[in-house]
Amino acid sequence: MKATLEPITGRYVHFDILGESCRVYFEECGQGIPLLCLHTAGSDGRQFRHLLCDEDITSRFRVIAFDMPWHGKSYPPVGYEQRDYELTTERYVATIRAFIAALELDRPVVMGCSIGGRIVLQLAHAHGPEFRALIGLEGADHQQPWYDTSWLDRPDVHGGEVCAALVSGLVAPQSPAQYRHETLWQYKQSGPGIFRGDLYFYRVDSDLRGKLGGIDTETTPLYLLTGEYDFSCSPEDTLRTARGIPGAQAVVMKELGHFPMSENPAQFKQYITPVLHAIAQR
Amino acid sequence: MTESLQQRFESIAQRADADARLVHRGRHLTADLKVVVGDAPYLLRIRAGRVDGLQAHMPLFAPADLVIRATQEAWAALWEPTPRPGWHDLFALTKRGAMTIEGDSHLLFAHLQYLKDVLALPRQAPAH
Repeated sequence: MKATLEPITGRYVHFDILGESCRVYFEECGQGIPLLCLHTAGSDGRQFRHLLCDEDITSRFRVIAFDMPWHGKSYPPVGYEQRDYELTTERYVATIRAFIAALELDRPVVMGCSIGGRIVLQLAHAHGPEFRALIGLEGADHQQPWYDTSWLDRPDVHGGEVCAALVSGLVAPQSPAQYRHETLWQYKQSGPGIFRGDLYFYRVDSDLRGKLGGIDTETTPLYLLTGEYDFSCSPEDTLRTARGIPGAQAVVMKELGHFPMSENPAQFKQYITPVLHAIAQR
Repeated sequence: MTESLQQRFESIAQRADADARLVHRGRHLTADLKVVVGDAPYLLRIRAGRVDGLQAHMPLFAPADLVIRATQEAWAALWEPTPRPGWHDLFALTKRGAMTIEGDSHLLFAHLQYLKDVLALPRQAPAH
């Protein structure tokens, strides 16, 4: 029998977030500079499986991806059934910083996508010196809400089907079918109301326009990369954001959409490799 | 509307029925859609996932569960083999103002992927 064992290891870590005990699943691979990866809204750390298995990256970086509480293999906190899930800026920042403290990561690079691309801006603004560099994929300081998210969480519409169908248009048409459908599968598996709860952060609680002063890109370089097929966080949103942050570097990625690392890993590698190389050379 | 764009839209009926998996995925959907291509209205009748009829010149005030309206430019762009960014998806077109979708939103969201896939069928190579 032919079998292939991937080098990724997965573990659980227990720590408190805003006073609640959480059991958080994470995967990692590699050695060197810690590179912490943040998944998109309504998905989980599997989005980074290609990065985690890329020796060109793991030879220089300790790549780590965790499932936020309520996502993937991380349970919600005890008592979740008594409330709706809503991600706030405060909770998101607290989650990331608590995970970094729990694993005792020393000035990691943080790379987030979508909501993760938004939160790295807040990290740069409020906690910049804690990070070696920050990378926002499909990130901007604000996007105008353009549809009613209540359709994502109601008992008479299948949550997995509708979340996947909604984001399917954010995948570039050039992306390989296998990876397009892997990306969508993660949305089909998301818990009820979780995508919508993440979007509370994205649409309601994190308008960062005019609030990103004081970002020091000399100390903590900031890279913003957005796929040309992303009409949720459009290239224009990202470029506008970058123009407001001295020293921020923005790149529009061809033939990629909202999920570059999972929808077309080979295409994404062309864009992320020089960024990681520059970070490693510092 | 150019003849070719009209023909491409009308190919939806044949293409949908030839795709057993698509019909299966739409098996819980029975609906009448008014689809306006440029200024030409069509009645697209879906019965249990099959395209049961595609009628040009939809009568005035005929009822429809959804009304999907886009410019000729938008449909032509959506159906390019590799559509351009921002013209590649129903919601991308809606967000940019090149398409409107009105009517029974519950039906739309409950069957969203199926409806996206049916309306993108002319993107494929010619059916014959």
